[in-house]
Amino acid sequence: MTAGSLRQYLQTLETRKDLHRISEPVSWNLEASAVTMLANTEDSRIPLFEDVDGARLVGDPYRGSQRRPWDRIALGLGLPSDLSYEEYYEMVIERLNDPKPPTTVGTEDAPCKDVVETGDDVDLLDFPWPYIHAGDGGRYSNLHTLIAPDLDSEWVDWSYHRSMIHDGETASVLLLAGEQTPNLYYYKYEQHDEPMPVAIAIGVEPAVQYTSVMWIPTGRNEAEFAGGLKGEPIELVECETNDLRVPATAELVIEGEIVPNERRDEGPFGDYFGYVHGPRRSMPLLRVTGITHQQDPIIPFCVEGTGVGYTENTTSSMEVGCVGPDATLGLRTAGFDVECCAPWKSTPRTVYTIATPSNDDGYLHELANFIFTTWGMLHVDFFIFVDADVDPLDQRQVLEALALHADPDEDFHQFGVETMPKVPLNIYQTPTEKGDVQTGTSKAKTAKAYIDATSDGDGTRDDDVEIEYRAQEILESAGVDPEKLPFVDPGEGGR
Amino acid sequence: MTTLRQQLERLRETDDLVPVAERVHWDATAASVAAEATRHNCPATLFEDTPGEVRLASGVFGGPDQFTSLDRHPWQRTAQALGFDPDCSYETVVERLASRTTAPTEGSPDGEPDATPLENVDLYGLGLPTSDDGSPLVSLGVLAATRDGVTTWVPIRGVALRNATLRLVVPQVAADWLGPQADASVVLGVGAVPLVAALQGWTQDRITPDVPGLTAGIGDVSMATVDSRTVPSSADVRIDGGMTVDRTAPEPSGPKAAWERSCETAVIDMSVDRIATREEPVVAFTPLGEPLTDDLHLVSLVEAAQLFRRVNSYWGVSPVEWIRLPVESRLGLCIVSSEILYAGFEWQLANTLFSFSKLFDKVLVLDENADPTNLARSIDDMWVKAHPGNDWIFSEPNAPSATAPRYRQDGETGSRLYINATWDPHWDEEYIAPQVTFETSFSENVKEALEERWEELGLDELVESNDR
Amino acid sequence: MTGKYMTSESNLPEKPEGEEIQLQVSDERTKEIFNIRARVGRDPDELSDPDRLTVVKGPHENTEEEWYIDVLETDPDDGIDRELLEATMASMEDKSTVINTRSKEVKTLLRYLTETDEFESVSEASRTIMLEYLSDNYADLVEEYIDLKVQSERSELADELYDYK
Repeated sequence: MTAGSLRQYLQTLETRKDLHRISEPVSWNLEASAVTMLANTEDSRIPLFEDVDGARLVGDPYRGSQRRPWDRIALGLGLPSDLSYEEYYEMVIERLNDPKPPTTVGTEDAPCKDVVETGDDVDLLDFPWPYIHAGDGGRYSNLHTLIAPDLDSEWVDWSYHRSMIHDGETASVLLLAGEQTPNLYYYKYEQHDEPMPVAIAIGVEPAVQYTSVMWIPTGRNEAEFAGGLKGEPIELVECETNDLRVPATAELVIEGEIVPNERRDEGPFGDYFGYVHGPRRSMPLLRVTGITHQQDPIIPFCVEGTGVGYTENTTSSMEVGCVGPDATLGLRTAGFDVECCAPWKSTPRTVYTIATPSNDDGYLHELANFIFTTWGMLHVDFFIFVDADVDPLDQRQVLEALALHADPDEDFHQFGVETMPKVPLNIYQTPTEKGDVQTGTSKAKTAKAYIDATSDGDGTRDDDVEIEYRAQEILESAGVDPEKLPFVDPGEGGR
Repeated sequence: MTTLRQQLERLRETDDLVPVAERVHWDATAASVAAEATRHNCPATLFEDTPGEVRLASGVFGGPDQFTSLDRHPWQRTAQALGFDPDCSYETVVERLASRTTAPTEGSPDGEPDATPLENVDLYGLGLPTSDDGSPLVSLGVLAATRDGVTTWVPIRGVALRNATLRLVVPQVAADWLGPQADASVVLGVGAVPLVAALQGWTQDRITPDVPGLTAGIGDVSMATVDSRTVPSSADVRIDGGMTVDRTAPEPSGPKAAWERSCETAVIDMSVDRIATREEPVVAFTPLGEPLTDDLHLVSLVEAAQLFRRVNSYWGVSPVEWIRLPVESRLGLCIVSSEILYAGFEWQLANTLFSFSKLFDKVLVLDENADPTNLARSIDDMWVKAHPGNDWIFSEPNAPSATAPRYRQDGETGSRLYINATWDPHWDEEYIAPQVTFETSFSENVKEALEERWEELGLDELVESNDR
Repeated sequence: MTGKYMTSESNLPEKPEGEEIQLQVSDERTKEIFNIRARVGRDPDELSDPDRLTVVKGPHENTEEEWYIDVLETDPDDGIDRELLEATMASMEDKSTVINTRSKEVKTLLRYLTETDEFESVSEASRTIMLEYLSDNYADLVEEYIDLKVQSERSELADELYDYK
């Protein structure tokens, strides 16, 4: 059963002895994130902090195991944690193909309305927002769903943007032009000098959190796809101080508006590249009009920057577990013959590998440019194309393909051509190149490249699934840990 | 001492060896099981029950793919097999191999070799794993032959043709040196030291025929004499006969060994007079052509050592911290960590490496503080530190093609690529973004507080409960 | 050791010591971010009731310096008369942008800088130098001006497009 709330999800973890409760007081000022970083690097259980100034935090709840980054995310969907990635992807894609519009419930049926504060009662600082890394510009909420409506249609975008807390009623939000909600804000609301109503739903149910990081087309409601993932409609409830609807089982909801033509400092912050980088930028201001929450709310956060190398965190695991299947589906829907699109496992959002049976030059060019021109491609710098039988999540296989099949003469495209936008969180541009443009993207452009590491038919393995299966059986009977062996039933015809 | 049997024992003791008791035929099954084992990072496998004379061991000098875990190092088994401290660092392994010293082999080796001649056993009876066409395969061994009183050991790869001939690929320069004919022995079931020494003697920038001397320089290998040839005395199988260099013979069937890509090769035929084995002989083999095979591991270290030695003595300074040819990339990529002495040095460094090795046409340059054991982070640097607009440098398409990649195998010239994933030396220090790590992301106070409260917060439990 | 307050070098004017200034700081304990009026300095003896102020510098703000701060007023008023600024902007629309310094000294020095190729012209020199000074010492005013300018340009463009449609 798909978890209907963050609490249910955490209970699922606890039943599997995968939750580590800390009832001793822990400080939000670096302490909670230090413990979470330990848990992340040691690949161990999820830490739940029960006493942070009398409130609760949970560190990187969706982080997956290093071997199977999608495993805990799978649990949130009511799926077994030991599925192979192919099985997992196909099941997620199946659910995404069956979206369900959300329903609305009354306030009395919405756990997120246990406590309602508006007007003068509103104080963001009542909650233990973590100060995550030394050197960050402030405390952050960075594992949430930001809900914002289009100005001139019924479309409501659910996405994710980190938010730095300033004081009891204000925060700055990292909005980078090129992404969906920032585009709405900068080019519609701000141009009309209108505030953009928003709600930030924190500690939402897993299906909602997963869709907020997915690449869902403009104009389509993430809420429907969250319903598809969940297998039933998401229950929403109306906000107190604006007309938005928010997931009813959220732990905490911040209602407010992002005001036009005002900026506040945002950052520095240790972000997903694995570096604390600045400088601080001028970013839009969120003014809080209401806060509602469950009794004893649990605020999830992500120790951003730890999802690199061998370590996982929520961001890197959701890349693999959520963005991957969604991107695969998106490409197939756009008519491309894609076996699987998956992120490079140890560097979030920068590199994606696409396994495709086609190696036609023109086709790959089309595919690459299709992706590079869609919204939100600020982050991605590289695509690697590999044969359909290469596992994009197996870094060895992909590195081998790069080394053995990508000819520097012919197979590296668009390097050196600096015409594309880039998110200023990167570390390879100088501060001058990044600038402090009013809409966030880097002043200087970058190159977006793709690499054709398909084999063109030379050197491909002659797979005989029956022989492989029999060989793996022999190894297993000899005592090899079956976890190491990707058994593929010859009856299923292999890949 | 560093024999094959000792290596097997060590692997068994450290739970890194899986004995397959089930009867496994040398005809293809052993190879397919070995292939699955290497591909999926399993322990080494020992096939105890085979229909032929020899037992077979695979993955003995190999190791896991380093993306799977920070703890297991790909070169660990080879380091053990060379007699180095099992915990020794990568840099130590490379430095020891780079020194390439020869040592005297203690007068002339006396004593009988351990293998004794067998009656009524031919090449097919040995039970070596076979290729697709049924020919028994020979690799992970050396050919011992003498010229003018100097014995040399030469790397080989080949097949048995009919039951009394071996057709072998050897380095061209070795075939030239040995002359058109010679008496020879092929030894199989040897430890890593002779194999590595043979690669160093015959596949590098200059030849060193005294491979037994190189062997003694690396580790303690006892030697014996057979027909006035020096051989490793503990070799499990020895095939004696006469070799002839055959310029017209086609190459033996089957996938190439990794070392064949680092030098010119020639074909020799050896007629077999005598086969000798130890009791319950065991022979190391590796499923050539699969990922992570033993030959890739051996060449990866030997080539890295060669490059390290040459590059650090080239400019009068030693800026290079380490060099790796990751087995995961099948030797098609060279990673170098170096101090960047001045802007443009990385260009010189990359091109020097290209000129010193035939194997790769891609070089990744990392800062001097990069960790050689953290392959995932090294590749991450490639993706996030190198600017896709100007740090991926492609040469003009006039460079000779590299031998490890599968494209342009016809020898057509092309481009080479190096990726500069170092901090720009033009940058002021303050432009360099600090990493998010436990050491740097938290104040001393916080770290101390955690130490003090370690038990109270149950952190031992948290840290031990890992999934690995 | 960190101070009671923290600020970034980018939030300080060029010569911040000695004078009363308005700046944005974070409270080191709560991490709350707010504006204050204060005096800052590197030497605590030059201030009457100094608290410690950590100033972070560099593009990644990872270099720290220890300063001191006399907090005079938290949550000060902006001090910018928005209406007056708007009116001034409107009135400048079609007026000349020539400024007369009436100072031989200033003009001589600017001329010198132009002759030595520091600047292309006296106008450029005076423009550059004055804007720098204003950005440093009247940051709020400059920001407000930019906000208003952006707004007005946008509505102009929107009007044009609307007319076009």
